[in-house]
Amino acid sequence: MKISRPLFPPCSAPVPGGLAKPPRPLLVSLRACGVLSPEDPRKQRGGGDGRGEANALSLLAPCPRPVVECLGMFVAISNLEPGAVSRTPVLDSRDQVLLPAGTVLSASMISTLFSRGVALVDIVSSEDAANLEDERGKARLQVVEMFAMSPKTPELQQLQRILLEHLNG
Amino acid sequence: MAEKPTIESMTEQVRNIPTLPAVLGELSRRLEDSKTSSEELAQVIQKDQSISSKVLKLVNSPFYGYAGKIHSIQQGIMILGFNAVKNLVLSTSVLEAFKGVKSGDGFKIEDLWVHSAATSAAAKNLAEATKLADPDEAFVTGLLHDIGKVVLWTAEPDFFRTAVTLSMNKHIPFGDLLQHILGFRDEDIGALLAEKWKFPESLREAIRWRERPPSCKEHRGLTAILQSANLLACSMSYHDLPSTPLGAPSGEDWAKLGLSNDTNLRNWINGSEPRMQSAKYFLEMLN
Repeated sequence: MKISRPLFPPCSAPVPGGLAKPPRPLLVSLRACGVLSPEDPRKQRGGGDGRGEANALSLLAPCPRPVVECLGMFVAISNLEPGAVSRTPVLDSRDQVLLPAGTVLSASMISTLFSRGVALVDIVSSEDAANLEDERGKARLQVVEMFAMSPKTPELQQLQRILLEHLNG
Repeated sequence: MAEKPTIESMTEQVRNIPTLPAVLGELSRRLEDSKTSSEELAQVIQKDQSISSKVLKLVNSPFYGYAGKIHSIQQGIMILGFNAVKNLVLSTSVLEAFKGVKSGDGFKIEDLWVHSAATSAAAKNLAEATKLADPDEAFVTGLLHDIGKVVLWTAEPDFFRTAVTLSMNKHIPFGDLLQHILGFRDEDIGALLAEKWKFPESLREAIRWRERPPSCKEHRGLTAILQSANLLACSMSYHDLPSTPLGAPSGEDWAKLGLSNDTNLRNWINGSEPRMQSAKYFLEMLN
């Protein structure tokens, strides 16, 4: 059964905790894709003059998705509008999950993220959102089918109920 | 139906599987000596270049959660601890041992490893929440719990395919079906291999009893965590045998893990999902 794969494609890996301090967007995006080490010395040399980003680009390892596509999904917290949907889990600087992937962001959530030091959030585009809903629909159907052929115990019925709630967001 | 394997033929099959790299044995011996330093342990691991490079690759993958932060085995030991690194070496060695296994109709080895990685993420998370087992031990148990299936598939692919089809059509969980037909389960084969490879007792027991935790006397907490993590991974699409039914956990263990409480169950799902979503990165280890 395939529910969420590839609901969240490769670049949607949990964003490492570097989001707590306002980072340079490009570098954060590259880290999120797993293609740039936070400790990379060439990043350190980049300073604030923008050359760091240029150097960082030259470090790119093969990324499973086009870099431009990866970069386009991050939105600065100050530009976020309520109703946006997180494409990946939002983590704090200690890699604790603040919000799971697929959360519809409310104004208060955005405010909380801001107060927790989150600078950028990876959100779904409208095209992604349509695909996401489609995948969630398939996932719901698959959960129902899988549990239908499984034993009818209270534990499995509870798990099915909570999973369906989870998929309904 | 294809010719049925017997416990004797499976034992023979396990006997023919190569032993794990010598580095593991030496690592265990060194770990028993409390005076061993991280530098000495790192030197032991680095004797096997293939294993040490794969350990670094795994630990730096988004799946493990230290992406790009660990640059040497010694640094890994300092950050993760002795036992976590030993478990990583063990996991890597097992993956290496099964590297040549090919997929076929009815079984995709990639699905099995992604399922195992997702299970290990859920198991670690549940162990952290319940404190009923060591989280690193839960992680490695999740990763290696299905080795019996790999042995059965490798030895008897035709029988395996038939059993999967029967499991789907008769709505009987795969392990229960094997028990019914053969008198033993894939977990029993896994336990044979775990014994040959001298896995720690807790890991051997969890592999053997993962669908029957009440039968596991010494390590029931770890075994119950593995069973529930396996169930969650399967029901969240990370199923090693898609379209086969789920096994049901015992109500007692489910409650003991706190999962009969809806909030706890939701928290576990929410907490495990991000790492489970990264499980596919685990496949990079196989390349």
